[in-house]
Amino acid sequence: MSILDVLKPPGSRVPVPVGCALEIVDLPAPDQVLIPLEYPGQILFRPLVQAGDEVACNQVIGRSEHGNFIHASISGKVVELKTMWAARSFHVPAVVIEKNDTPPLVGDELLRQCDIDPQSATRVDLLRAAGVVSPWTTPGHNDSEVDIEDYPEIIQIVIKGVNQEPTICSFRLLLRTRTEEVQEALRRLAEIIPQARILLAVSKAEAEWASESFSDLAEVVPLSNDFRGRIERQYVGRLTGIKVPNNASYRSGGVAVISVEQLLDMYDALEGRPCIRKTVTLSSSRDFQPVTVRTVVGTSIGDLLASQNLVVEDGDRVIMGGPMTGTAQFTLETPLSKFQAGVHVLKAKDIVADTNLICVNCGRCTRACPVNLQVHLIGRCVEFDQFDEAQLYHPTACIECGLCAFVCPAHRPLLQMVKMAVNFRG
Amino acid sequence: MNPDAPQSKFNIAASSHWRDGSSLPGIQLTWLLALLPAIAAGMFYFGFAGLRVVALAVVASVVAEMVWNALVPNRDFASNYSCVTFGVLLAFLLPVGASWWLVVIGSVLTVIIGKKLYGGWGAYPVHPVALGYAVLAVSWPSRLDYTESLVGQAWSVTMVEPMRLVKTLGASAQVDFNLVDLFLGRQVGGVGNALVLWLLLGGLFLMLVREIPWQIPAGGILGVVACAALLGLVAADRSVGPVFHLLAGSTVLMIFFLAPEHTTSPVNPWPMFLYGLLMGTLLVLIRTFSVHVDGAIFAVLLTNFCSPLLDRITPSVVGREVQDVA
Repeated sequence: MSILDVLKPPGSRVPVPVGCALEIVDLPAPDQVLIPLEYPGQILFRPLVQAGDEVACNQVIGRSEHGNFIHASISGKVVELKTMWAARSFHVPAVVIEKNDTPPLVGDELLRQCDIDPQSATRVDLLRAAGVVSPWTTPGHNDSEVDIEDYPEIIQIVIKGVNQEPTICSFRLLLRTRTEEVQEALRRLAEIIPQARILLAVSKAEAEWASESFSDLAEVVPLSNDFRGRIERQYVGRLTGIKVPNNASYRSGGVAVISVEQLLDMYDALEGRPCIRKTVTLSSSRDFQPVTVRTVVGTSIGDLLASQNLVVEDGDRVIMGGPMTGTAQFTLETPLSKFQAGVHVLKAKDIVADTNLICVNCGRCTRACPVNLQVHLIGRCVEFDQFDEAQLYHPTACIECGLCAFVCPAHRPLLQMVKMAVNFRG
Repeated sequence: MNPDAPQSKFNIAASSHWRDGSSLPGIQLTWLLALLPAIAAGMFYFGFAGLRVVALAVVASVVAEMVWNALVPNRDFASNYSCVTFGVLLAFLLPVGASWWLVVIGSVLTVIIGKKLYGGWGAYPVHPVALGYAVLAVSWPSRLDYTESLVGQAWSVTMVEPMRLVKTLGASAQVDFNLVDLFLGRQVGGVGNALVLWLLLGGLFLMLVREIPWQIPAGGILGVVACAALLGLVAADRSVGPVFHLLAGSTVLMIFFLAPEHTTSPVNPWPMFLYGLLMGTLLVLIRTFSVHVDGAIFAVLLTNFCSPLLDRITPSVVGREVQDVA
């Protein structure tokens, strides 16, 4: 943070993103992967393999009730099926695979293993067979997988070309390094959904370059460098003019929101490549130049950090995601899933511990809140177990951006308190 | 808790993991920094007599705070410096020659009755300093006479509290005062409450670093100006002009330091503005129509009680309507 930041309102003091190296490092597959059989809190997969099975890379290992699939990201032997805590602290089943030299599945095999006839396969079949989850197949937090069929037609598509978290630059780099594929993917998207308006949100620094490259394929929208301008729920609502409840899928408003990475995954799926790789930015609060790597889904955080010589010591905080909304991990065994775009290590020296100090009613949280919640009151209600009272302040509208806790001078865990108000109601 | 659960060697906490660098002691140190110009000006005008009151009040406040914390465990620690700020603010309101016991009693009242009894910083309904001073003002009114303490001063200004002279002789008495003198703090007042320019510097600093929101001072100034201007139309014989109200007595201290106190002021934009407006209006009304000479403290006390009510005017929650339908 610069010294001049004190002149800004507290809610605008989130450090702006630093420049990333303009390349994505491809990592070799690790010796062992742990693949969680779920999309966070949404779709649960039934395992199709058991301990002792030999699997090939790209082989389907899990199937959901509704016909979505999850793939082995390396070839090898299934060592065990176990339960684990996923990155966002859901308890889920998972498959452990140890690497061997079996050749990967390719071509029509990919479709046949999903009971799809290669001759008559539709585009949705191709996407499903490749394990791509959006935007046609992702339900909202409160919806079941089946609800997808009742969603209205897609009229607007927002493509995230910039990450919300300041430490993560994977979307930006994908846009830069795979420009031609993105262009081709946008063309395909316009073919598949001709009626939709396509918006591409990019960072302000790249607005000029992006509008040169993509202006004939999508409306290029620059987002400010300020964290407030990059909060996804905020800018999607602003750009599309459609407000979707925070606990529901964008799809219920006819809006599809996907990242550049998911767009490229869809493109790959149509080209017959399953979605088994993931781009993540590794960063640390000290002595480490942020680096963006591409690796297979299921790689543990420990392997990822070790590959870049990012040392984690006892007492550090390892965060899946970014520092504003990410989840602290209690073990380095947590695998990378398709939904985390970054790992941030907060060194012990830089940690500001949460406290249970009294709220002094300074109101910074409430004034920083992008959705105008009375955060200070919700926090106090929760502190004294008044969960019914807390409902009067509409905690369900929270978009979990983390700004309230960021600005709190008493270092109260405010976001956690709002989440409790949501979860313990009634 | 599962006793067999593996212990993590990492630090675990909920997001957000970044903090903006602010802290409770940081807030109070910023306030003390903002009070420094006035403390320095007080030393320049009154020598060590002024500093003596400040030091005595601070020491008494801190001791009271620490004794209470030793006897009654609570979550408001002396290390957040709130007692220091309150000590300084209370000293600013006292006469330069205040007896030591008056300062000590005032400080103890401020910290114990005003703050600690409710649970500490963050829990009291009215500004502790206003409460402490109000108790002194009704208990020993003659001991709080500013003029007596300043008898030795070699100033070429009218040696009466501006608002007192206006109260006794009517609005025409304002010609006895030079506005520039008032602005520079050359007027009869307490240790720091009438050092207008120097308090203003501190107040602007607080606004610049976003420690206090601009709405409260803006509302306060507008309230004083509007109310004084209106009264000038209907009761010209007893009411003085808006500028005189702003420069005389504790107006600036009230608007920039007593009104925006975090715990007792509202937090939403419009309520903050209305709160300031109400306080400024009350100040002028009390000064013009009541027996009290400088109404600042009573304006603060009365408006503090309104702030929870004002804070019910909230901006509408984005996404709330959709929630209710869903």
